[in-house]
Amino acid sequence: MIFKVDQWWWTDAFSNKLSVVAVLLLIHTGWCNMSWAASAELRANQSPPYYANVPVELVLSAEGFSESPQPVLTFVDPKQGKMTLAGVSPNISSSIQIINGKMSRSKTVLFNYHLRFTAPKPGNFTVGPFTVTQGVTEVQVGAATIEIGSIPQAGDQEIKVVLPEGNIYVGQRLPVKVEWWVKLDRVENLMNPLATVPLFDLDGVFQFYDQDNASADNQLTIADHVFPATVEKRNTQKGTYAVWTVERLMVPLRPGNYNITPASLSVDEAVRWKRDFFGRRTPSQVRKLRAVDQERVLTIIDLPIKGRPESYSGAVGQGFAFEVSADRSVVQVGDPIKLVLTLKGDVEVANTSLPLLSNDLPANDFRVPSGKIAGVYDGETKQFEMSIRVLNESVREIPPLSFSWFDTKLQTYQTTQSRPIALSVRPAKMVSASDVIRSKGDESEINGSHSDVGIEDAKSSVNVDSGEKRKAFSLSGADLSINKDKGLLLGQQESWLGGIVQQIICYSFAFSLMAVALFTRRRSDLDPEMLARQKEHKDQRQRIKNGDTLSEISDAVRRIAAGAASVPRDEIDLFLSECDSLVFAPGGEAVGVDENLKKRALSLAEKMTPTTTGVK
Amino acid sequence: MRKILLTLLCFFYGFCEVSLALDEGTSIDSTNEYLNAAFKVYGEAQAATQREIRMDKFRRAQHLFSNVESEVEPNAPLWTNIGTAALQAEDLGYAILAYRKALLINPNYDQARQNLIHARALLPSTVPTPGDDGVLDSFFSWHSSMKVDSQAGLAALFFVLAALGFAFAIHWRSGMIRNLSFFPLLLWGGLLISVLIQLTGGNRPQGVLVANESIARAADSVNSPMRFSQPLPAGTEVEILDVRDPWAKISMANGRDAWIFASSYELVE
Repeated sequence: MIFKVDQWWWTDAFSNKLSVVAVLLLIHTGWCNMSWAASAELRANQSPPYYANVPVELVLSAEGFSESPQPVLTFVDPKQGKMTLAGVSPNISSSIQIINGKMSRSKTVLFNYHLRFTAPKPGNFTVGPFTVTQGVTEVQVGAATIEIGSIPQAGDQEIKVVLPEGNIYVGQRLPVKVEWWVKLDRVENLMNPLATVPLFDLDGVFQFYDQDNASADNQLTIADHVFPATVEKRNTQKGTYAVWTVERLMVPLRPGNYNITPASLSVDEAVRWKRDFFGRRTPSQVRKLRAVDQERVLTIIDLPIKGRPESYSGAVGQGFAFEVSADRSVVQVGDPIKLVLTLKGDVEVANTSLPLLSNDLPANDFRVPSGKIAGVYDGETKQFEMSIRVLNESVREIPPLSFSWFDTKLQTYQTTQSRPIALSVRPAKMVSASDVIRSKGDESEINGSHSDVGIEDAKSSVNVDSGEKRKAFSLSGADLSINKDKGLLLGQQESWLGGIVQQIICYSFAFSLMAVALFTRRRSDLDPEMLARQKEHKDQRQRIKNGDTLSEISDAVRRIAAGAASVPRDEIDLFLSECDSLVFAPGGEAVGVDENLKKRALSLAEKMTPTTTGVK
Repeated sequence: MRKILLTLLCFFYGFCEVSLALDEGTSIDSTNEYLNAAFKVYGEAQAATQREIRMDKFRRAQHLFSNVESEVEPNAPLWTNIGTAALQAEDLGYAILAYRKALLINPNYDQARQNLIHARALLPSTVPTPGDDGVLDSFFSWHSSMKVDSQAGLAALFFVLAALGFAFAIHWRSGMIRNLSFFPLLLWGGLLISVLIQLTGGNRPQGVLVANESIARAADSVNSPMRFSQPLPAGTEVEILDVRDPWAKISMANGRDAWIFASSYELVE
């Protein structure tokens, strides 16, 4: 059924429709200066018909130019309509051909300039001429004429630009809605909606801002931009509609009456369907439909001059709040105080500037920076930072600072004030020639007050703030020379006294000295005869060890026995007799000493210890 | 006996040489550059006529001297240089701190003592400063006029002297030498007691406020009332009674106590 209706519409509409002929052309009468191969042509990217307020996409292809730099396209703006350059796509291809072993190489450089022409109404429109320039190479494409037809009005769609009611003031921030209403049962057949809102193009008269819209789950294209849109179902007397809504914020910049060209929307409606390879339903034939808003006149009212406060700096809206904080409250005269001024409001504060603070901060008491202070907007508040200096020690507070705005609801100026900030200001520290020499009066004053006054308790000291006079920073009594002895400064000439090594050595030496003294004392206390006997005993033992003859060994044994305290007589006599018998035997002197005999002699010497008597 | 004594003396002399050689082992190449730069910047600061440039260069010199200090053994001349640069830069807090550190290392360093007295005089008269030494302090001035290391080293030398005397007395049986040897032994004992007192004396840590203005509070909380009507200026010398991070309880020379931020002071150590 649908197909029948669509087919009927197609034949009927086709006969009634304006015949739209596209003129397209390749007109190249270019004058080539150096590059004989450079050429350009203009063509449409889509087939006719073309409609008013629906962009026609044109492509200008230029080839024969060098790869770089990119050629520049210039064109004459059309008298009616709008031509924009959407982009450039270079296309560079190289090919190598080998025929009968002969290799030939070619390279093609093609630049495609994508243009978009939008005609405001039906009729014939001329675009061009176009010029493509690269260095000294220039190619021209002549003007072309495009025939634009009108799109049939859609009876079941509407487009509306919704503005808030009431007066509109310069600087006021207004929410603007663009709504596209479509009968719910026709939504499925519609595609590629494209809206045109001339209000958005009035640069210099209005300024528009876009905010993040978390609830936006759809999109709507307005001119060249895609805006987030919400879609909802609304019931009216005419039926149920699906409504796409795009929201923007509008700020009028200039007063006056403005005729606003009505917004319009074109959309493709499928009139014939087919099934693709996967069985899905796709449109095989579409028609353009158009919805148009009503024309309107906007009156922008300038802000009243009468009653404008001095602290007004151009803010328009409602519900501003103004806070001021300082980084310090105890200062000396001349010290900088960093002020943070925070501006909050239900309305846009991003473009709000600070009022003149010199009205609230007298020049005699405060030094305020000249010039405008740039603020930082964080999405909700705008913060301004500035440094002021207190010039007078009698200042006790930073007075309330004023901020004014024009309230559009009350249609009057409103003013808010920040809270005052208490200050403790002390005299400045002055350094001058008079500070170098201190008078006697000053000295006595300082010495007198230096005794045991100390810092008074907060509760008990009343006159400290006013009574304490800060001393001048005089350095006349100090030794301001610096030590340049690198040996001292690098710690190389430090005394070795006190080092752990020194202490260990000292104590070791002392104890060793005492030990040596005790040892020598003890030695000196012994009997010299006993020492001689001990020495004799030791010498004779050595003789036994080294002895080569029996008579030598027997003599050593006899000497040891002579000085010994106890002597094993029997063993000695036996040993000596054995030695004598061997010595006096024939050839006995030539006989060597038996090792066993030496061992026996040493054993006897061990048994014969020298006498220990005779200690002093 | 003579051989033994000679051997001991050679051993003692040899160890002294080794200890001196060990002390000289520190590398000074990197610190020389800082030192030269510090001298140069200090000279430029003295020659500068514009106040801002002078201050900036004195601060720079102070910083360079501090860099040297971090590389070498602490010594009084270097800390005095740091203090003098800080004093010229009108930074009383760090100037007093540096002079205090210099005097801690060498209590007899005259320049540090003189400049410390001068820097204290530059503080507001309401700020209490440590008082002069009393009669007993003067009598026992050696106790504080010599650093602990030197006292310990001197004690060891007196012990050697006493040991030498006793050794001779033992060897030659001389009662007079023995009696004379008790004198260095007594000195050794006195010095040793002094060292022990200073090492285990339990003195409270000393500090100097270096923050420009430190608000003294009655308790360790920012919401507690101010202890004094004015903030404490940099250069106030205090004793640290207690530390509760980030707060510290301090006591000033006049006995008043207060709570300040621990980051406001630097320890004299």
